[in-house]
Amino acid sequence: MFIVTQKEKKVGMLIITLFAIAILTTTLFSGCTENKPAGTTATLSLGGSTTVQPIADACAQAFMVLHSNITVQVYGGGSGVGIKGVAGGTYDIGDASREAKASDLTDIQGVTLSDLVAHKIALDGIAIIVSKEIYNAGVTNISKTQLKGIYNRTITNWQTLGGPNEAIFVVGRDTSSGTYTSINDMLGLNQSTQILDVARSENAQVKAAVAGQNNGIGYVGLGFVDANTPAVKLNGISPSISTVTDNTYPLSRSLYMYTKGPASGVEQMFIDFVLSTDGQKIVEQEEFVPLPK
Amino acid sequence: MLLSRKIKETIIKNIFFLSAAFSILIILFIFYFLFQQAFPAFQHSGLDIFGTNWNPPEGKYGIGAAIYGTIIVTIGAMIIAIPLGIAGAIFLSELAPSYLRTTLKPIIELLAGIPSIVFGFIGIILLVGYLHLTFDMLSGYSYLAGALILGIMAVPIIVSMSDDAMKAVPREIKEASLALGATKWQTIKKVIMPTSISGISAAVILGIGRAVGETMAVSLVLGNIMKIPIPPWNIFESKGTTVTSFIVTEMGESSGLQTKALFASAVILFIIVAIMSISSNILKQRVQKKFKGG
Amino acid sequence: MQIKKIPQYVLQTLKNTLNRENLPPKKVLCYSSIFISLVAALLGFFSTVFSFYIGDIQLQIILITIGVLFCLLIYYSLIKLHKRKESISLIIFTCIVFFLAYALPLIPPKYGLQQFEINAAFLKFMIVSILLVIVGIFGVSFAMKPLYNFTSKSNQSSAYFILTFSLLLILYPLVVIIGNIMINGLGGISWDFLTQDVIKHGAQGGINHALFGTFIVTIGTAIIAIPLGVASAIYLIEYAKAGPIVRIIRIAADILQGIPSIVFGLFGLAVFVPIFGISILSGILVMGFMTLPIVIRGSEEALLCVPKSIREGSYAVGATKWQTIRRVVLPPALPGIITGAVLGLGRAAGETAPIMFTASIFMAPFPTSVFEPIQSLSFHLLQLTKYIGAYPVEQNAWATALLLIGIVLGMNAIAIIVREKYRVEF
Repeated sequence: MFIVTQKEKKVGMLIITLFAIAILTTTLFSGCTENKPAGTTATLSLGGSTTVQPIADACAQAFMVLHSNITVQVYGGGSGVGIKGVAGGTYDIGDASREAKASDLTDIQGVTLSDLVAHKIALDGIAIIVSKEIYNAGVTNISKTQLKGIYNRTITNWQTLGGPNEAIFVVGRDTSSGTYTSINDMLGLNQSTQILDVARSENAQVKAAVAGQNNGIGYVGLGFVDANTPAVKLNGISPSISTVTDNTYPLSRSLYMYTKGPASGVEQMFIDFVLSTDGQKIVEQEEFVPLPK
Repeated sequence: MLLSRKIKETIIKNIFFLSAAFSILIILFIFYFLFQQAFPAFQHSGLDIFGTNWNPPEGKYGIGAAIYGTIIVTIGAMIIAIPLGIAGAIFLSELAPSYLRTTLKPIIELLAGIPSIVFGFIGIILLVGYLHLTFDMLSGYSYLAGALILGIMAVPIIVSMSDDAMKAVPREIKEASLALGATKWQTIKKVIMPTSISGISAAVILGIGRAVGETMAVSLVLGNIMKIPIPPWNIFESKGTTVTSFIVTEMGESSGLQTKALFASAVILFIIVAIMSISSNILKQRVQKKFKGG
Repeated sequence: MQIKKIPQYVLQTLKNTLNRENLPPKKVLCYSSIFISLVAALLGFFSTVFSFYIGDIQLQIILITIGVLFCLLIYYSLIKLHKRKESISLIIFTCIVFFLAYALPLIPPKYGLQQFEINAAFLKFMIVSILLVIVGIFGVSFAMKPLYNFTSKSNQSSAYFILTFSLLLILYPLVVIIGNIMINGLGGISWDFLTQDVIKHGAQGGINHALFGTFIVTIGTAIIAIPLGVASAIYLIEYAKAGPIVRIIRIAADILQGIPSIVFGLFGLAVFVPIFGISILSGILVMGFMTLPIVIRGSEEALLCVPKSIREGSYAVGATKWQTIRRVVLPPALPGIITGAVLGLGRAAGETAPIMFTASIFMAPFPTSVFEPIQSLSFHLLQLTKYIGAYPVEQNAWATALLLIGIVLGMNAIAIIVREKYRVEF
């Protein structure tokens, strides 16, 4: 009935084989990772706070060199995403720059706060950075009250702080970030009293926004301080590894990795690695503060 | 034999029908799942979701400020894009010699395809600093920057579609006008523009739709604060956000009802843009009917 | 072919113009006025650019002085040729502009427009640049009038001039964008850049994983969108009779095309990510749905272009509908279908919002299955854009932008070339 030419047959066969190959390879590959016994090949997924992400990225790379049979995937997202992800099973380890709250788990049934185990992996200070021009003009030290004044807009000009006659350009983080919450807690502000000019969703963006102006102030993790965006002293104490470790710097906090239940298997191996001397060295390289011994 | 052939034909027809119906299915799917995610927020806030009080810790989820921002930025973009786009389209369809047209039209269509993230990158690296310096603003991040970027992005779309609309005007109408002694410009003004007005409006609505839904480029150059600037027409202040930009900045780290509220803003966005696509389509069909009917 | 003629044409025109008989003093005056006004308009237009590099508002004031003085000169000399009334009103207009440029910024903020929170520097910009452009354009249109002895043709010429000028305005930002990316990006593209993984937050190393990821996502999108899209188009054009169902399908495809990419992203986050995780599969499903309407539209247009008579001929020799479609309708429609598909895939390759929540992460090893996350060029560029100023990533960001633009525009160019060629053949 149908006359099918030789050429058409060939094309048809080719398409069918291509599809078959595509399907086979995908199933084969996915089969590979699932079927082989743990220990020979394993995947570990981390996700959450963008503050913790540089540590997680660097540790993952070093960890994979040590254990070539383990693949570590690092996702961003934010503290909330990390905690939700580990509770819901999306990630094996959730990174957070703050402690987990009950409100993080409202969507997830059957997991309570007590099911999550926090592993403190590093310390971090939130540095207050200003534009180079402001720092050079003499604003090198502000008090916590003044800082609060800047962020709730009772202080709007650098002159009040002994700087040039320039409006203060206030940069901060988006309302759902861990760092934003930390700042509110530490300064006694809340959502309606922390008034920003610009909100950015990552530490790097905050630094970029402050560096791009001659009148900016912002808060970032300790690792993001450099000559372009110098950190001011807070109550006379400059943010550094030593002042954060002995808790004299007013804006110190801990960084966590969360697991659901006690860490086991590959999770334990990874967290042990982060807490080991090598891991803490990476923490220091990424310009965070290692845990005191 | 004949029967099996008939069965085969029916099966094939039904396969095609199913794939065609798949588009409807996707739309319903998207709407259903977005709404399902957003429902708790609608339930929680009711009509307050259109209010301007955004304060998650206190359970206030009003995205009115973002909607306002979307409107302002879109209006700004259109002030730039509509006159330029229509002028460009007239030039291309009526003025340009054929060699210029055949080179310029594809180039402008190509430019419509530049990914939005590239515009965002350019916005950060060139535009924000430029605005900060030139206009002596507190910072370059502003509605103005967003409107400029969106305007530049929307122009190629409007040019290309309005050009198609003007080209669709039948030759006879133009020639009749010219034969009556009208100049070419008079013909354009009095004959071509009025006849193709529905096509041009369709292009403009599509441009607006793109501006409303654009995400990456805008989110990078806005301040992303959920507040209406004071006074509200102050396009130079950095405070302010659009619906898309707010979703993309806050989604990463949000949790609980806040996430639901972001989904709710996506639902609102979806409805606005769907209405726009439908009206643009109706206008386009009207053009086709007009010229088919004579 | 025509391009070769341009120099000849220019030479010819020059010869004609320089011919003494063609050049009465009236014409010389008009042409030079047009030229000067044009210069004034361009000065106004580019003064913003100058001020970016020099950063000096005073410079703009100087520019406007030159521009406006030139224009006044023209108007004065044109008065001698014709209608006095019109010329005088134009002179008044120019003087107002001239006055505003100096006076407005001098008004104390309390009484000036600044009390409406309109930025002072922006005001200067508006007055200096935009008004200078307007003065220039008016000058041109004014000078054209005597050339055509005040017929409606003079209106036409000035309208044409404005249209041409607006085309310049359209192309200018796009040239700036593409030019900047070309100039800054080319230096960053090297073999190492193409073949290395991300090192130091993207400040060093390259984009091999991201390139591979974009490739995979595009292929995956094609596998989902093209069969579905072409089949939908075949149903709509070949099988469906006009009726409510067809109308609903068309409307659905239209809505789908208009849905913002971020909404697709959230949809994927809500539906696919809980099932497949942040993975290639989630990403290509979302991208496939997003691309589908473009493929449908392109294929529909291609199928419509196939003349009815061809189909009827096929039925006449006893072929069934499916046979007709497969053997007779699809082959000539293929270039059009490919055009639509490639256009859709071009969009998919450049989009960020749909995959940033569903498929992409900044650092990912090469994936071994579709259930793993992936890097992609657009997401990589987004991340680098966020890092600019924090890490030294600028060079790599430019290079990534160039590569992304190259890939996306390259695909679009292929689509447009295929379409143009196909149009000529039909």
